[in-house]
Amino acid sequence: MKTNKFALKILFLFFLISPAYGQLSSRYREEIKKKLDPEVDSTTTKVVAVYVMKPSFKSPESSIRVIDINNKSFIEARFFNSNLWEAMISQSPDKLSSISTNYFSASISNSFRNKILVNFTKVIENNKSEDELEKLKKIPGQSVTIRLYDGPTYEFKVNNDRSIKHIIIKREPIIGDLYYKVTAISDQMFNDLKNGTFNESKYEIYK
Amino acid sequence: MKFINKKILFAVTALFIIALMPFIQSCSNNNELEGTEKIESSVELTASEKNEIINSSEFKEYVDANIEIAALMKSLKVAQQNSSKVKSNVGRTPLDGKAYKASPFDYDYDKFKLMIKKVKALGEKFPSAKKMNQTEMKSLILESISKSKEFQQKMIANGLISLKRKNVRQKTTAENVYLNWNNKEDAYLFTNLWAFATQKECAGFVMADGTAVVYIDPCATRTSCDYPTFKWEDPNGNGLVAFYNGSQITETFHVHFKSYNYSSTDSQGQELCFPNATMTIFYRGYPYTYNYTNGTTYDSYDWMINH
Repeated sequence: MKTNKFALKILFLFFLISPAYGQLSSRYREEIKKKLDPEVDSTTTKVVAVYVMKPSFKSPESSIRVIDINNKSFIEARFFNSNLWEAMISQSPDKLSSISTNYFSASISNSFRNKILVNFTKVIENNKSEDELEKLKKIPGQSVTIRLYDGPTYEFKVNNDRSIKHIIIKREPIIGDLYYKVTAISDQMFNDLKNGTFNESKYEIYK
Repeated sequence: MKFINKKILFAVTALFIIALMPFIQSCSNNNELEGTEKIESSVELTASEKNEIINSSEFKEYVDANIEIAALMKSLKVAQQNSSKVKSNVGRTPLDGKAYKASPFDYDYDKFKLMIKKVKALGEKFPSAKKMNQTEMKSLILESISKSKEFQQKMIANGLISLKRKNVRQKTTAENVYLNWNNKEDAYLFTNLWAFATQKECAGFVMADGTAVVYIDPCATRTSCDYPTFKWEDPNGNGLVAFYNGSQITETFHVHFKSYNYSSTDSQGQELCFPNATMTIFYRGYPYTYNYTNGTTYDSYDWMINH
């Protein structure tokens, strides 16, 4: 445990000497990937769907994943105990070292798994042109209009047999559209997994 | 009632999108949901509760203050339309905007202060109104205007509605506004008052010569707004800097409603588009300035109190 804390403090110092905002953002993304969508043993396990929710401030980042192991499917929920981004920019070694990841999971039916994949895919296809800042990276220095965004960011990834589809959406969901329904139900599933009340029959769009 | 037809209601709806709901700010702590920060709570009011609100003097004064703010927005756009396009020697002209040279005397800050006062008064008398969402509140305002010839006449007098204009919504939502200021303190003050009164993010930048520009995006929300970026130059061989109208941009600023911290997207945008400029976030009226070179420190001061 002591070694772990020491390692986190070293990690923090690494962040602290970072000279640029963007580098911090890039390390933040790496940490999110490592902790909320970690690597799996590809010989036995396949990650088929990922949902990551990153509030800009205050609330902790969280994820939901669907994985296949030996023809069985499972849903996983991961979340930090507090907001990682704010800890990273806080200059407080204690804050950063206090960040931990919590994990819950449950088995799901093949039908439920497929419905999640279908809806995630639809959200990805409906929001293809969302990440304008990513496009900007390809033409640095050009005069363009960017969007400042301080709300929650949602990431969807689907890995089916044919292709991998992925999107990062920096826009708040609008009540009524599929993006809203999927994020709202993902949040509900996340809370149910956390509280031990997860039940496939509860989620309207996956029935 | 004959006086109000569908066109007017449509126009009123469009106009109030820009200056509608300061309620949420006055009770922002209540509305920030810890879990997803995406859904604002709302409450279903009974017909009698709605009538009580609509008929109250506090609500009428609040609607009147909204009309004043909408009229101010209108005057800014007219001034911008009448000004000549700013030309740039070193940097680039803003993408699609005309800049309007402004001075603090052009703005009646009392309108903002009045709005803030009315919002608080209404919230104190009707706590349930604080929990209404934008659609519900807009509906109440429209009902109030439809019943008041005085409000209708005031809106016509300020050019906010016209029986001849066909597509008001398009006209009121398609244009961005650039406001040039002689000093950054006035730009700061305007930015904060504007954001507070309209409940939308607002942004700007400061140049090396001390002047500043405020950029108003009519499509902004409480968590997002468009922001213009400019060509980079490396005039002294000391690194890239962004220019606006021939002046080096030394600072960018924008308003946050939920935190004084910069977001991950803010940091990406700053590094990509405004290298070597500091970034100021306004939160509850206070500036928090982040220095590019060390990335994480901030300094705040209470200039707002002194204004």
